[in-house]
Amino acid sequence: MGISASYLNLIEHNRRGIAGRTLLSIARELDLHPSELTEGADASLINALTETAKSHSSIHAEVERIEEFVGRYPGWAKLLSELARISREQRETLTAMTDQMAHDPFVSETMHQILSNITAIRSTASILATEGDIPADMQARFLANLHSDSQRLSETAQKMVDFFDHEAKSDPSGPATAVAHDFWASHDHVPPPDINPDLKTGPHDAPVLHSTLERYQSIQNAIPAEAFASTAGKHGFDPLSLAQHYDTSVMAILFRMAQMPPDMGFPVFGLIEVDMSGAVLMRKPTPELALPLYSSACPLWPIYRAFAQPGQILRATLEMPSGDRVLTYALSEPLDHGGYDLPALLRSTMIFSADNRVMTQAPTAPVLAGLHCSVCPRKHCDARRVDYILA
Amino acid sequence: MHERVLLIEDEPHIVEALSFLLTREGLSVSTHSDGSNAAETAARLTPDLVILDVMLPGKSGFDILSEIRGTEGMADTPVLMLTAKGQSRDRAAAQAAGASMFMTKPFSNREIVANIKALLE
Repeated sequence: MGISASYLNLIEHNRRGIAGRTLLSIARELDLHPSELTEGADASLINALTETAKSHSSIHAEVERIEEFVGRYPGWAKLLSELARISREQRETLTAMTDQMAHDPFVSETMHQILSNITAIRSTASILATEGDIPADMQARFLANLHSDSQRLSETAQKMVDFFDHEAKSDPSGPATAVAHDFWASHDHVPPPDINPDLKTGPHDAPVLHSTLERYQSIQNAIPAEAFASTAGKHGFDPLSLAQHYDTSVMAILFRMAQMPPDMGFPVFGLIEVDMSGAVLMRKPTPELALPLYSSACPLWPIYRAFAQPGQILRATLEMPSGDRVLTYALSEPLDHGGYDLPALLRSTMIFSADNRVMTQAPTAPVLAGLHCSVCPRKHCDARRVDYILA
Repeated sequence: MHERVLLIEDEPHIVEALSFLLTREGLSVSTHSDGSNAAETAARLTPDLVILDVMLPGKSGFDILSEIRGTEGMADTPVLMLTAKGQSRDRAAAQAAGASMFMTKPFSNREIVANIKALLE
């Protein structure tokens, strides 16, 4: 077989692995299938441990002896692999939570309020502590400011705690990036230019993400981005006109417009897709319009009105409390007829852009909307359902 | 003659505290709390320095800064931007819009007074 007795001894005691030509020649001599000789040296376990060792290269684990380790101590190897997997998942969850902190409009607005409160308290307290000869009326005023600021800070902090408490109880899910990664690994597909890692999914949400990614792939195949970029400009970025040009659905055009590669000079379109409960299935925010992570956006957004008029394309200008305006196209379509006497399942999609090339199509009378009642300062709004938290 | 500072900030207690401090430093302080017509106020007052909050009702501090920079005679007026977010994208946006200096809340009184003096020199 061309190997020494001492090397064979090492193999027999799982101190050396066998593979390739050596494995085949030993199997042939012993009249065994090669897989019977590798039994015990679990390939996936070895791969997982190798990956773990590579990701902690500073520890200098004896990678060349992994097979021996797995063969001699299979229980410990499985335990180590499992701990590494848990650690990786927790790191991904932490990343997703950090993303949420950075992008959730409620968290962002509330943090701004808390820091402004703290600034006022710190500055006022510093004046009282270090400045001499403060007139009595100013002293009284600063003390009153301290009192009201500290009270406001306490209330805002409590609302923040309640928010995270609710989030923790209601969402035990993990980040979508892992699901997307698995999808790309198992499909020979080109990933979309802008998979948003903010979206979190639980185990039951993976099929939704898969179908979304597959839909992206079919649109990419049917309407290649490069040709679309020039055609869309000639049609004034009008979805209906483009659907007629390509002889395809308006929904396909909406997705195509929102998922263009960023280096083509195409106007940036955001996208949000919801089901009939309002749960967010897909989201791509833009600087002009933040989006909710899960649900509960402003009920005045056309994406919700579209459920009342399935198949009708709604075009509207949204004006946010900041004065920013975006042009929106919203459309809902049935996923399934549901069966006799059963309601059809609908899904609604809205794309939006503030690009000047797109805003030329925008209706002049805007819909005065917000992101969510809790962060919307509009005082007289019939759609309000909860108080403005920063009032 | 007192040097004139325009403070554009919507948090009233920060306005009171900073106005008190800067007045004690011998500066003349004007205030404005709404984003929608802040640039017009700056154009009318032509202050020696502007302190500008990033998050204002009505209009973003970055947009106001761009308008101020486009106002005749204010292209080089020192502008100190304040934000409650220290994120790098806010800093980059402030720099791109032409801010002279960028400070994150919460700041110390000593720090902001020193920066304002440095910008006025």
